[in-house]
Amino acid sequence: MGQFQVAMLEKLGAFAAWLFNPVSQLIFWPLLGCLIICLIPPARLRAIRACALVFSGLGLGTSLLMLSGVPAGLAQLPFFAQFVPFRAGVPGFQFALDPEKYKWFAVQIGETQSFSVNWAAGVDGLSMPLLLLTTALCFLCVIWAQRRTERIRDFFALLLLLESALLGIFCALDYVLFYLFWEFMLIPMYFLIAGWGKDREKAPRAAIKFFIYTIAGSVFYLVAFIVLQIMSGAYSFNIGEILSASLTGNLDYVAPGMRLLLFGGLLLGFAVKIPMFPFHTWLPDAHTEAPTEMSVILAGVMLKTGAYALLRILYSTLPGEAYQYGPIIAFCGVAAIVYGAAVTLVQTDIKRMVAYSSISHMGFIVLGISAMNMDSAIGASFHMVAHGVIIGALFFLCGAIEERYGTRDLHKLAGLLKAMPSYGFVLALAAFASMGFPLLAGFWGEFMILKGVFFNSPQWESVNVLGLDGSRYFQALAVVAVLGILATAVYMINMLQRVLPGEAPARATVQRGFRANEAPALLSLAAAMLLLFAVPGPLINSTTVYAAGLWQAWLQR
Amino acid sequence: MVNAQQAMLLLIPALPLLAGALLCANWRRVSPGLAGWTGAGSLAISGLLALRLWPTGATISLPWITLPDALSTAGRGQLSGMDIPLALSAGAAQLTFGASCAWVAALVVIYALRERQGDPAAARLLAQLTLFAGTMLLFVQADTTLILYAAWEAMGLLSYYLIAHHGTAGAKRAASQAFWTTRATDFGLLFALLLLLTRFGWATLSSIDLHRLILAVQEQGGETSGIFGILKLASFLVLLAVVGKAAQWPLSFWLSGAMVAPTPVSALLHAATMVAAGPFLLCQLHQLFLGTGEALAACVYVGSSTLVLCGLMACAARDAKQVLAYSTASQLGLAILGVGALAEEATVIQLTAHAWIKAALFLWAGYLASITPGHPTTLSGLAGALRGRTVQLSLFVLAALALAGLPFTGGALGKESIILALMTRAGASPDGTTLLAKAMPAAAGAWAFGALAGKLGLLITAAYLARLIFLLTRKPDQPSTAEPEPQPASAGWQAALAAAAALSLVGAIALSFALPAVRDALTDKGTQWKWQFGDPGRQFLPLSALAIGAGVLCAWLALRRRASRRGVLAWVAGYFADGMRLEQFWRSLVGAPAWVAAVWAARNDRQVIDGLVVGTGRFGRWLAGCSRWVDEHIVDGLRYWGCEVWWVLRRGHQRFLQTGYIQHYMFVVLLGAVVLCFVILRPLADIFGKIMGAI
Repeated sequence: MGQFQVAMLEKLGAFAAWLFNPVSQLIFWPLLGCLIICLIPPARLRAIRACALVFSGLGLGTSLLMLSGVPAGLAQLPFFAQFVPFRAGVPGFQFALDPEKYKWFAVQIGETQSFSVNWAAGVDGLSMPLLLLTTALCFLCVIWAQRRTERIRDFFALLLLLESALLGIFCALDYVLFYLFWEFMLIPMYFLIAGWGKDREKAPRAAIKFFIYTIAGSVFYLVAFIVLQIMSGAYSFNIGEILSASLTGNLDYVAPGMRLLLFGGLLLGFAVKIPMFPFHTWLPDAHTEAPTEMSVILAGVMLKTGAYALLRILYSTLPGEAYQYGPIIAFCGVAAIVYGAAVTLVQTDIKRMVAYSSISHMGFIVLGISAMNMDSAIGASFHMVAHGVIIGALFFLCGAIEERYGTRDLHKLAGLLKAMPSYGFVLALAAFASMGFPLLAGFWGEFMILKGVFFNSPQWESVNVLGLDGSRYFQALAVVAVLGILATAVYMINMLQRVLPGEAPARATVQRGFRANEAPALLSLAAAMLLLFAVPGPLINSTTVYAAGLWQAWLQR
Repeated sequence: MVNAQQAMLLLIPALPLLAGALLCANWRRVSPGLAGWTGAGSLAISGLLALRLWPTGATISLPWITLPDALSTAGRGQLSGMDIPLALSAGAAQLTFGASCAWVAALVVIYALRERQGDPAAARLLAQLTLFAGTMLLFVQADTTLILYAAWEAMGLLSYYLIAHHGTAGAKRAASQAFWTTRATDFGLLFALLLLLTRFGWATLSSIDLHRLILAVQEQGGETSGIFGILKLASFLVLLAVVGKAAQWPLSFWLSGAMVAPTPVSALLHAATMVAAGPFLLCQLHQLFLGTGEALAACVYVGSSTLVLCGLMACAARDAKQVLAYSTASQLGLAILGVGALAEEATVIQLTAHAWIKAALFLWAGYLASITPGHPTTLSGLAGALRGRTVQLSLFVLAALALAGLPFTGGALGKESIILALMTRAGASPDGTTLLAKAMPAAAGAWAFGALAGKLGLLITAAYLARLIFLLTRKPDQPSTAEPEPQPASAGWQAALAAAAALSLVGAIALSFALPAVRDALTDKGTQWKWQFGDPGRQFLPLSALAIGAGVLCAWLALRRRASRRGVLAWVAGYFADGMRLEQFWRSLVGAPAWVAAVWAARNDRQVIDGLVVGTGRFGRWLAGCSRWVDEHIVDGLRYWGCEVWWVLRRGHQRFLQTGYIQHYMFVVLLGAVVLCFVILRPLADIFGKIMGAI
């Protein structure tokens, strides 16, 4: 064999390893589904539906296999060789390939400096639960959308493309790759809101608002991470490499003003997506106009990408600035909690109400992260998953109610318990979970966040905020945040009181039980709400290692 | 593996919880009879199991979760966590109170089965009652503080559904008011439990051991003042939660609002569950109050103000159920006084006796309403209901006497013990224990105050019960104009109602014989933290009997003189009858401002914040329009007009350029290029040179 052949074989082997890598599979199954659906003639509805089901199912299956590993027999096959069981308590990334071997492109500047953009992707305890949430919610959305008949080829293709991009964000370990996925998720989302929204006039406007707002934020992120990479002197855009450069002091020479600009740029990019107060106004509009499935993914997964990016990138790479401006960010979080809850109180559109409530809950996650504490970081990442489950169920129910009643006006909704008792039960469950009620999923996240913010913030003692000792300031914030939970109890009870009892209109009483396409989503999410309270251990353990690492870095800051 | 005793312990809450959950899930398919008897049966068995375990008890602890612990992780540099088990425990106090809860609840469920005949949602109500009682049993037996908190919250949630059972606007309003009030104060408990968990690592009630903690700190040479600071904060937070849950003054308004619920719900809510959970929680966590005089004093002040003020409200109330509701708040105030006097065993006795007696009174009130035409609950509607019914009257009077705490009845032992404890504490010197000595000076004044309020409470209790009985037996002012409704279906269910009510009364009376044994069991497990106090009551009994007699006399005089119809007294009576207008007070203090803020926030969100966002977009579009205008009118116009002017001025003068020779044209182009080079490239070269120079 000649040298060329050997080189070619090596390349082929590396390519196969890349293709069979679980992370690549996870990202590419939905993408492949998207491509295949595009090839099916639009009139073949059943084929399109089946294809979407299969490929989003493959995404879910891959994420489950990553968690559990494959049986020993299957592990012999090269296709499954890399599916080792996920280990939750281990630091570092799993399923990751050596990024140096998978250079996308490299740029040489002069003799000495060069940098490359690599395929760096992996999974750790922080991202694994979010991946599961994403694949599960997308699969449930595909099942939910099985009843659609209008332009479903485009719908499913875009939905699978969106899933692929979302999974990419949670796996990407390279700034450029992250940015690509980050921007790429906007495009299908834009078309899905604009094209399948309820109102032909308003939906495109809401979609444009969402698109421009988020892209305006991510431009700052783009500039900031390029400057960060150049200043850190790293040889690639690898998140870990720039992180270690920052932690070893390679960024110390940068002037404080410049560091603030870097921090602010990255923060702005993520803050719009979360959305942090006061960058939140795109969210209710987008939710009100989006089709049900898109609301679920938007609130259930897409908002979490912002919070995930805070934990993964911002707070780990620039802990000094995070510490310096932490009180301000925490204030924004609490403002979102209380202000969002207050605005929710007076909403009359059920979907808009749920949308505003998610602003309030995301504020909790921001508060948890900004307290820079192990407990609250664990709480924040727990709450990300729990909130994804709860808000997913709530939006699914909003969709079902809107379809049956033909309205979303809370003053006109009544009699859900009579017309659709099973839906009413899940609605009550989700509403109480959203209140952070013990016995349901929402409890542990808020519990851990309050625990961290209120009790375990000694590192803030040396900071003076508004004349207050920093830890006192955070304790005051935690107490104010409780007002938000209380307001949640008020608006959720108000909603239940309007929607559940009474007499339903005739059009709503067509079918009492679950519809076949809606049962899986509602039942599995309801089960998840109960399970996440009863068995929180795996999820807490999964994020503990990452949070402990952050905590050490924060303490040594 | 679990042994037989642990299995029994598990079954105590699990049986009614399972039965209730299953019934709730299938209430449309289940007949009320099946739901009622299943629920009552499971509760009765739970009560039997509790009795079987009494008084030695059992504990069970299963692994549940490990919560990471940030502080110790930071301290040790390695990941560490604290284990939170799933633990239940049953001491004498828990079993005594738990068994009473279970049986009272079983009686209430049986009563409800008969009373709710004809209600299409009767099966749901019965299932929810069973579930509710099961949750209470879980709360009583819980050892893990988080389970305790979960049960505590779940009770609040279920109470919402029970109060809103009728589905009317008023019922929903009362239900949400109850839910929001208790939910708001529940955060006190959550924060307190978090405080204990994070600061001392106390995840279960049985791990709370103040003595060991102080010894450990002293061994390490540390200061104990920090511990007392935390304990004080925690005990105040717990007290806040209890004030909300047990409807203590000034948060007592939700309980009287909750009277819109069906009678069995009121009976269960008031007698054995929910509100009684508050003082019981204080008993469970009484160690926190040791050594913090301020918290003890707060307990005493909260308890005595509720005892007196809610008693006065009961004196003035216009509705039989309201009388009993305010009486509940008032009696629980006495129980909290007991905790303030560090007599938690007396509190448990008071709670147990109160559960039986109050259930009996409620069921009797419901029974009387059910046999009166129109089923009224107002006192004017019920006037004369007991007239001519000697057996009913005598049973009712017996229950009332027991509640009033007449010596040698079921209600007396707890009351007398509490008041005696207060008197002893107020007058006695510290017994040498450092903790109590520390607590003494701060709480001494409060104890004296509490003893006085306790005696006054006896008088007031007797007064409102006497007033109730007088009103129920006097001749109606005017004959009822309402059409007499057909009497309830059969004499059979009337008998059943009466039997259920009578049975709970018999239970209450039987308890008065059993209570001394209970007290002995409770105090035998006593630790060194308790003060032993002598066989209570003997020397003060005449005084108590005197107070009760005075109360009865007051009621008689007031009714005779119709004091409540004139002048200042009438205003005062009306003020108390309206529950001191606490509901309006809280509504205007919290509700209205919150609503205004919400409306403002929503408007602000649309107009200001979103206005800024949309305005930015509009500004961009306006800017684009401007530049387009400039482009069209100025840049393009300049070019056009420039050419025009050139053309007019030089008309015909450029013809010489158009020679038709290609080389002429090329020359002009070249000339132009050279000029351009000089115009553009020179400055560029300068800049480049400067940059190179700088590098």
